[in-house]
Amino acid sequence: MLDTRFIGHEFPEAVVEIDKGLLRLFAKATGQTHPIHFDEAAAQAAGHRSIVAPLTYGFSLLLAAHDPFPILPLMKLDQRRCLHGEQSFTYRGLMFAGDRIRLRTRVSDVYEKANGRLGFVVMQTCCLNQLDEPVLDMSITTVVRQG
Amino acid sequence: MKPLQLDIAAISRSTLALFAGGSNDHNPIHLDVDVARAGGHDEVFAQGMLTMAYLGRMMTDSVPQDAIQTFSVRFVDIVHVGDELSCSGTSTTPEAGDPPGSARLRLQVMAGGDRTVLAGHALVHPDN
Repeated sequence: MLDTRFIGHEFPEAVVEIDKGLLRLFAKATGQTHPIHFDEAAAQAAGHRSIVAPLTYGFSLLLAAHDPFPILPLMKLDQRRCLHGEQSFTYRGLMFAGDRIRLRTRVSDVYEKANGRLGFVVMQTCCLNQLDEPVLDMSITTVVRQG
Repeated sequence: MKPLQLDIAAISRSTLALFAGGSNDHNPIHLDVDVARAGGHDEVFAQGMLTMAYLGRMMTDSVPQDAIQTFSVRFVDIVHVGDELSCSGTSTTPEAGDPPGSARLRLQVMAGGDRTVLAGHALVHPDN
């Protein structure tokens, strides 16, 4: 049974620098064809300060900021019983290689369904860049198989 | 907006390994069959965010990235090694509060042609 007292828990603020090499590897793994995602000259020619982080990269920043995945130690969850249930991004601005992103993450909801066989933990993260500009809000729902 | 489509060839273990490295997702259940089996799975399976990344790539192949306002998905089913994926995005009815001039896309990823693995939506505002 999941403990709803974790609702509202705030994780320590974390800062992650976006690594250019990892963005290139992400682009390779996902078959990106748009060169702004792996070629710095092409990104700058398109008016960007460096390689552009793809739409879903914010989740990778969360993983870099909090390893292990932060609710696992907090709520003593077995990673093998956890699945990614839902993921939502609201974009405020683009993120680039070399940016230093500040992540503020909290647990926004904990609930159960199917007579407790499935547990749900929702985290919300706000991301600001080194210029204090908001760049991204995201919501992550983890499903925990129980019983 | 015209419909968007992206087909992905059969998912390989190599892709899972590259994505684990590039995305910081080091969860061994996607890389190590022993861990996958201990978790009750027959085999390693794809990171959900890999499939979501393909959908993102489908959108930014056609639309400037800063035009995309929101992007949300539900992971409906597991993507297995060997699955071919078909990603699609089609215009759908706007929701209350969608800004004028924006388009709402219904997003879907099918595995093996007949199994929905991911469903979602995005709000695109070309003027931003």
